Amino acid sequence: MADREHTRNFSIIAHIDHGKSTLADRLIQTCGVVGERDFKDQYLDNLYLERERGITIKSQAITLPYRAADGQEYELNLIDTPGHVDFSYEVSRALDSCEGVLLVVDASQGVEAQTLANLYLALENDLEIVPVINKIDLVSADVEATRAQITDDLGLDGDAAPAISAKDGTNIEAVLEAVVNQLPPPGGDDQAPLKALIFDAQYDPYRGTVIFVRIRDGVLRAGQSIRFMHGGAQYKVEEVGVFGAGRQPTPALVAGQVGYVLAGVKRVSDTRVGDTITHADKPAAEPLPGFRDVKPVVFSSIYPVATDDYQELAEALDKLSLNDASLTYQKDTSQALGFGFRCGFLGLLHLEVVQERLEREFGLSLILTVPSVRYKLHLVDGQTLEVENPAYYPDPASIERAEEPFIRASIMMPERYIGAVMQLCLDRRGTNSRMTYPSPGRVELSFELPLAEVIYDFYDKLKTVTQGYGSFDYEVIGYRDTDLVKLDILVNGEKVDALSSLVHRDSARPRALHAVKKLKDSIPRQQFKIAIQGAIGSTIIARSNVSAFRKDVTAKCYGGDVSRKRKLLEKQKAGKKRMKLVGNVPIPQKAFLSVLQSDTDD
Amino acid sequence: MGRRPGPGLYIHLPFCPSLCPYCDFATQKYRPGQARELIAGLAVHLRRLAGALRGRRLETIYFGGGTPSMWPAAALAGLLELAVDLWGLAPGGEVSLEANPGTLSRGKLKALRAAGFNRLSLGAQSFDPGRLAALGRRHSADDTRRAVDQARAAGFDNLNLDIIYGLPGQDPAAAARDLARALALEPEHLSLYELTLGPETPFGRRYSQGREPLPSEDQVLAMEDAALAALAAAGLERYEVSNFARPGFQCRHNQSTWRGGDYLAAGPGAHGHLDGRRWAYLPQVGPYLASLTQGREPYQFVEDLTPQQRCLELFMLGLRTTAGVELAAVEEILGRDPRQVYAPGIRRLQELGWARLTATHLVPTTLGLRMADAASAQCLGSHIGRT
Ligand SMILES: Nc1nc2c(ncn2[C@@H]2O[C@H](COP(=O)(O)OP(=O)(O)O)[C@@H](O)[C@H]2O)c(=O)[nH]1
Ligand code: SF4
Ligand SMILES: [Mg+2]
Repeated sequence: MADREHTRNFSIIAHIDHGKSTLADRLIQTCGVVGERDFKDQYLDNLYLERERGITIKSQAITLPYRAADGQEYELNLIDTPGHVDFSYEVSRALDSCEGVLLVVDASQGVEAQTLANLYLALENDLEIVPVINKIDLVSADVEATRAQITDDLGLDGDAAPAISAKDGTNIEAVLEAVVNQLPPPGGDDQAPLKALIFDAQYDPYRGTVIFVRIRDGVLRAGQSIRFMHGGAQYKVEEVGVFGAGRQPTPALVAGQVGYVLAGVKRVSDTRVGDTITHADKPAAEPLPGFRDVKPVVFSSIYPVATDDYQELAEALDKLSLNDASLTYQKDTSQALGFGFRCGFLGLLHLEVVQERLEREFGLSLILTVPSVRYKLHLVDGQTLEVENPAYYPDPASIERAEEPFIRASIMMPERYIGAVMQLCLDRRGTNSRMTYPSPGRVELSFELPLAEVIYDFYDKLKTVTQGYGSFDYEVIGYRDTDLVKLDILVNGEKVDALSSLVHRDSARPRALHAVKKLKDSIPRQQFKIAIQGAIGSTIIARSNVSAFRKDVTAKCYGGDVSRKRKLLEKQKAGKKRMKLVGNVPIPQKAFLSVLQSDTDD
Repeated sequence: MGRRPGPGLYIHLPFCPSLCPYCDFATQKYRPGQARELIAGLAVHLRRLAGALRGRRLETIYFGGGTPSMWPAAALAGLLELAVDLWGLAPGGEVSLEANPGTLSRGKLKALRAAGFNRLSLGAQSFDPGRLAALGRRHSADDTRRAVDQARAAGFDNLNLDIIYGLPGQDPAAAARDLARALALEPEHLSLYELTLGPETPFGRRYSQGREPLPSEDQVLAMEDAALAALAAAGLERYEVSNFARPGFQCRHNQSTWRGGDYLAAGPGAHGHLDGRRWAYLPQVGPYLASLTQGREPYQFVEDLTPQQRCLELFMLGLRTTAGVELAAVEEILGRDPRQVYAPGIRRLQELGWARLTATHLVPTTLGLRMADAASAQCLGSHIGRT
């Protein structure tokens, strides 16, 4: 086992496609972790049980044994992190387990939006940063210009950056040498009481929860009794180890090391990312800093399109939550949609990832309701109510005042986008803006914003107005008074409960118009006229009609048209299965979904 | 399967002098060299299909396109002669040719009639010079009139005119005038089509249904109502959504198609049907010929229909015809009484006033014909089993 002087903990960060996975592959191969025969491209990515849309939502680690040019043996722990603001807390804990990062820049593309966003994240975590210039084998590579960009735009030493081709394996040693020589060894004290940072946890069907840890102080061995300092629960350690080609048990993990712990923890949700593990009998005085109790902030109800799929949905959610501690769910019902679940998410992306997994891995066809935040309602009778489901919104007359969660958003961007971003934040009821200039040409804009305004397409809009160069992070700062109303959508006079939403009074009309228009465009015409309305209480604030169709016949149907026409009918039948009946109006799933889509695309 | 009508033969000749901006057919601009190769290829293909009918004689032959009439009469006559040689033609067999005014002459029509073509379908489309130009047609109203006269003189006593309505800038009065001019030529048969916007056509990209300059839905319905009255008054009885004929002059080839009949096919993009198997040939002339040369059937796809799919087709097609869906034909395929199997769908059609049940048929009403697509979807809903 390597001592601290011979250990390095690092992560690789990069703009998408700049070669993070490929570089990781080369490092793993160069260090001979995996035999050539067992090696597969995108090695780390393939370790993830769940990789959605190229977004990893879990961290991953691997230990690379390396004999450096100085003749000494090192143990390099590579920690791979998820990459989205919804998981920024998880990323921050994973980065907190490192002393440094490799920042990969594609020599043919140069510095791009996420290069910057990732750089800022690393800076916030006080990490040493080694820039690496990749893809020098490309004809279009401009190594010198990239060096200059790294120096000028990132404020790092571009001249010292190793120039490599991860694809061809050129100059990989230089990267490993930079890890050894430029990143500091971890600190820590083996003799102090145990403090181990949990930076992730994954579910293993045979062993229960695999807890990913970085030992700050002390030593952790199998057989010891441990306690989660925030969670409070106590367990007996069954096994500790490091990550080689798979999990490799070791007798102990010591200060500075990265590894895993098996302790018979049933569900991932029994552990909390950021919590500190200590010994039960000789506990540390206080936990490591930076722990946050991550609570879901976005809520939406999920219904199966086919009501008889409810049981399958229940089982699928149960399985997903084994490995996803931040997903919460409880039973919900809707007149229009039947039985479903009210689910809580870390953010919109998290919601989308869960939705995609349910649909793809479990073959479910789903309808999701408008995402909502959790409101606090102070009632006339003195009670306080927390409501995130429009179905439980009480009689407005009984409400004295309402509060909604606010966040402090921190947006980094090149200076030229400041006007557009400022406007976007103001449009979203942003207040108390602050501006700082962390480096020349870059601005950090800080705004207080209602969370509800952010979960509704804010991130997409931000990406649009900054052409992808804006990075976004936020923290919830508390509740503030708000003017809340419940917006209902009616189809032929019948309330579609699944389309109701809680919104700020000022947003009610635009939202209603949006919903009404989207429904008008996506509800198929029938033999009768369909009225679509948006209403607050009994006041109609938006309306539209789907006119009746009076002719529905293809002019020509000859021998060459039969197959196509029959297939069209069969497809229509499949589509019908995805329809919900409100009154006598069939509403396609896509109508529900389209109401959720923002207007950016039209 | 003695009751099923047919068999027929469909030959697709995919060339046109120029392409019309509304056209959604498998067609392409005429290239003489390729056309010669295709004629040779078609002959090869027909010969290869010789055994496919197991000794049954052809009842109908249909030359469609494209613009088959632009081919030399000798080429068309040669193909027809070959087909008759291979399979024989039942007495009184129907032999149709699609033709465009402007590609015909007195001599050519005589030759075609002499070769055995006995039904001519003329793509008149409109008699209004402005509309003809907008449709990209190269012929004039007078060309159409002349073609009709010459066809009559050549001995064609079974003539169809194709007319389109719902055209850009057309109002109900203009549509009525167009139809009246067509009827004045006293055709035995008339196909009256509402303009269809193929999404991949220039028209499809340029216009959208019910919006200016296309007539509104109200106007289209008014045109249709007026047309139905005018056609009936002229003695042309409706027998399908878009097809009208004097008694005894219905197109037998198409009628057979709509009753689930068999038809062989040849030519790029042609579709065939034999006893529940449907197939189509590659739509491009080059690949079609190449495949033939390599000794393969130039299939684009082949599908073997389940009994449920075959019945669905019978409903889908039958609900477009005034004869309706023949219940016995459905029962023969399904082995069960369609009145039970399709009970919910049939009941719904009756409630909506779209169809009524006779002793032998499910017959669409006039309203039902106007809603035929929605009507067949209703029957699909009560399909037995899962597809
Ligand atoms: N030519 C060239 N292509 C590379 C190099 N490194 C990575 N790539 C390619 O760039 C693409 C993205 O690489 P990947 O490692 O998946 O990027 P990631 O998104 O940062 O993980 C892949 O097609 C790689 O094969 C390199 O050094 N040279
Ligand atoms: S003549 Fe007929 S087949 Fe040819 S392009 Fe025009 S509409 Fe299409
Ligand atoms: Mg990758």
